[in-house]
Amino acid sequence: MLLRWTKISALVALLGLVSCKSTVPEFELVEIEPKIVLSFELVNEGETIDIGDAFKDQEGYNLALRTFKFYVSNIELISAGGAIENLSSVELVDFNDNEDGGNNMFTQSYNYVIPKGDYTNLRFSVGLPSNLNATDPTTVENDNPLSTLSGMYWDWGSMYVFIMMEAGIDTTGDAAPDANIAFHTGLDTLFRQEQNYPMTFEIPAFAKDSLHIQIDWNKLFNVEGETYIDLSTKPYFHANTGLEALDMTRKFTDNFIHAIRVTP
Amino acid sequence: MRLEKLTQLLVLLALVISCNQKAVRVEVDSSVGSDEFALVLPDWLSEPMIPKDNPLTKAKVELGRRLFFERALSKDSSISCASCHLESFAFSDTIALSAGASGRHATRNTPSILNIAYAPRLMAEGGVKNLELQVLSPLENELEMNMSVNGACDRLNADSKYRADFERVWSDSATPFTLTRTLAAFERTLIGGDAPYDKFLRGDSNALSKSAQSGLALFTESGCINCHSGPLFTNYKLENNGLDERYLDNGLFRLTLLASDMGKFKVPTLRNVELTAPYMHDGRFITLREVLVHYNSGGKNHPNKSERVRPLNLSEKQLSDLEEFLLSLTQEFK
Repeated sequence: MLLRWTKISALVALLGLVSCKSTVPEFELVEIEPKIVLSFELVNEGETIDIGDAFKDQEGYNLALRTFKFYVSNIELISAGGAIENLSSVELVDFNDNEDGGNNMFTQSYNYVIPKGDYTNLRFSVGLPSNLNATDPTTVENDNPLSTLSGMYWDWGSMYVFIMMEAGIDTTGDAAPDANIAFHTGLDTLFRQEQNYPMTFEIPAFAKDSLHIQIDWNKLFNVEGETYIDLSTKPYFHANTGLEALDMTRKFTDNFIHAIRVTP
Repeated sequence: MRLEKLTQLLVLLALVISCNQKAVRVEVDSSVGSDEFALVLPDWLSEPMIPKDNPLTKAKVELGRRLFFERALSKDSSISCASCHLESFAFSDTIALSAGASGRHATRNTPSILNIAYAPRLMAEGGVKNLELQVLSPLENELEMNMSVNGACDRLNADSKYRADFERVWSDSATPFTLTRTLAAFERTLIGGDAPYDKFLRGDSNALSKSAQSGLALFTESGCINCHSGPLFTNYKLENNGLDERYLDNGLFRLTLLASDMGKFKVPTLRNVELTAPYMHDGRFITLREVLVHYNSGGKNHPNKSERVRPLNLSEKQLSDLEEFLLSLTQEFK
């Protein structure tokens, strides 16, 4: 929990100065709105993955990530009293669209103003509910996650890709990627509704707090007790291309859910 | 044989026309004084549905016509919409799989877009809801024009003439919204005209040969009319017509992922079918005769094959009559 005391101190100091004067000027005390920051990160064995850089995964595969983006929707915080705070109806987490000045750091952060209080649960869906999946991308502004700039629209079917992952993989042993792997999930059937991440945290007044959402690369392909996806087969699947593709993208989607870990 | 020669002739004609870059004719009702664009429809067609957010205006349709021929809308500026949708072939082309930008090829046969304003769903698997959204598909498909819609807008906005025209039509620049609406508006004006069949229906008994008249009767008796119905000879439904036992292109399955939708494709219009060869979603049949032979055979076995596709046991003479009737659906292109 990180309290931002600086601004409070500044206000106190200002009050002190004002009180020394014989005439008290009118001023407005503005309460700094409490905020929550959702920070997304893709990690491999605890290390942040940088886009384009080669990395070795848990199974020893040499990989280079090229694209990793996905939709999260209906993002909500649940208060201790059960109240639901809607943070956003939809966000496109696009690690390619890095926000750190071009260092290709695989993190994306989103800020939301919320009421102070105690919270017990973060909830969001992966993918788009059918009403958002039916959006006409030409009718929204460019800064909308659903715009034509998202690069997530399946024009042929008037719907969106939910998760897009593309990477190079070394299959010859020289550490240089020589083949491509990809998963493009989509279609209403691969929407994963209301994933809950229970945790307890407090958002006091004048505070800005963060929730850190990590996606574990290795769990995308190997979730204990769930599904194993063999990268040596060079999986390259778009959900719409056949029954095998649907099956594989379903596995990838379900692994994706298990690969998410949220910490305050 | 006659059709093959005709096809060759038409291919030559297409080349001449494509070099000529002639403008598409659009029928305008000159009695309309305002900027409103009034469609001139044959008496066998009702008014098409025009979206409220995209009314037809003369200026918009004219801008859409220019965009239809604009090669800058493809990544390497090599092709335009009109490269594959040639007016003289009822806005289709003459090869199985059209050439896209950068020498690539589309994966499906180019359909006719004449009378496309009446289609309730678009694309071979019917997954696109309206013409406005359909514009995105060939534009952004990497095998076709391979151009992002935003990239296309940037190019248009860099051209002072286009910038001024978009401003005049939309009070806005070229955007994904205005670009798709403008092209869709133009496409809605591509309305077909009378064919000999229409004249026959109006009482001109000489408009159809005896053979074509026999073919018309067979068209109904043999059940072709069950799918190829209405004034545009399509019910727009999605059917598996027994082309394959195993499909390389999954058709409607791509959209629904239901096994029962494997190999289902939208029933195409038969208006001007003479001009839209080759046939089927992949252009596998070069001639109309091949198509008729396929249906006469009852097609291949597939669990999703329409019950309507069954052996017809038609004689060669009857196939010729059917073919003659289909040729009578060709309108005159001025």
